[in-house]
Amino acid sequence: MKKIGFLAVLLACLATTAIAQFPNSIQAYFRYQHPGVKMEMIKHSDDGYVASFSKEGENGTAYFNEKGKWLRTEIDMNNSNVPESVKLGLENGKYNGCDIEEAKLIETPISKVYTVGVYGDNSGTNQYHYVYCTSSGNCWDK
Amino acid sequence: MVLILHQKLKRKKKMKKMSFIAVLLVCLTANIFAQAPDYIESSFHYKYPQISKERFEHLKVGYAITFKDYGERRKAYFDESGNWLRTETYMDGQYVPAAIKASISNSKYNGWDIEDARLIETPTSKIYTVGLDDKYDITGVGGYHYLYCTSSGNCNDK
Repeated sequence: MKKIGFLAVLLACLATTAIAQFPNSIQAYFRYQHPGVKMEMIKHSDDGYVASFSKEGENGTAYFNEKGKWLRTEIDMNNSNVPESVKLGLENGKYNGCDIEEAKLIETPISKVYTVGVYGDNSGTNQYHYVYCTSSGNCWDK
Repeated sequence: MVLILHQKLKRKKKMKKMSFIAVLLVCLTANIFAQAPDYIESSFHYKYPQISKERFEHLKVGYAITFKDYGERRKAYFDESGNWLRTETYMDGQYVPAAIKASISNSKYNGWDIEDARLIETPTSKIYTVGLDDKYDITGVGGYHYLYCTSSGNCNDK
């Protein structure tokens, strides 16, 4: 029993240290930007804080600076959630008929960009491309 | 006799608890020590010979391997078949190419600090993402822009 108690206390201490020391603004960000979503993990990196979370089956990572100011959030999206405007942007650009392999949404205080990994393009090859698109379907790759 | 039975029962309960904790710890640590499939290891070593991986992840789509190269933290992504998709290199702002720094200086972001930077290399492109912080911002909430730049300094902020 003593061993179990010791392990429990040790785990509790580790968990407390991991989530106790970070700026309140990070909690506030989650409260207002992602209500009902809880941080799964937060770590202090060289540049600031990195918090990971899950929302509606998608994994997200939020980045904050040393003072706790929100910089950006990256969400690994389900391919089915890629907006129609982005799919249209790919089709009307150089990627007509491509297959979406992966998609990520990068949100900052002033912008929203989708990065989409696709196989295939208008040339008919099955080349992999990493394309950057705005919500309105304006896409570029280099 | 009753006392012996009672002690046996107690021991059994204790063993059950210990086993539960052991299983829990194994589950928690299993992901950390997960092994990459051989063909992913081969793809990685073909792309980056003589570099040892630090961490392996099986993602929702494909695999990622984190490693260090010349002191920089890098993450290589592969699809389910082991094809290399891209590598992201986390950079210190000072190592961002001069052409990009010049482009920033000549834009509305002149004087802003490079907060973070990343190089995203794919089979067909090379893009630098640069997070810029307005050091004069006093609101504490604004003043951060994220640029997507080519090596030659052609930058897009949305």
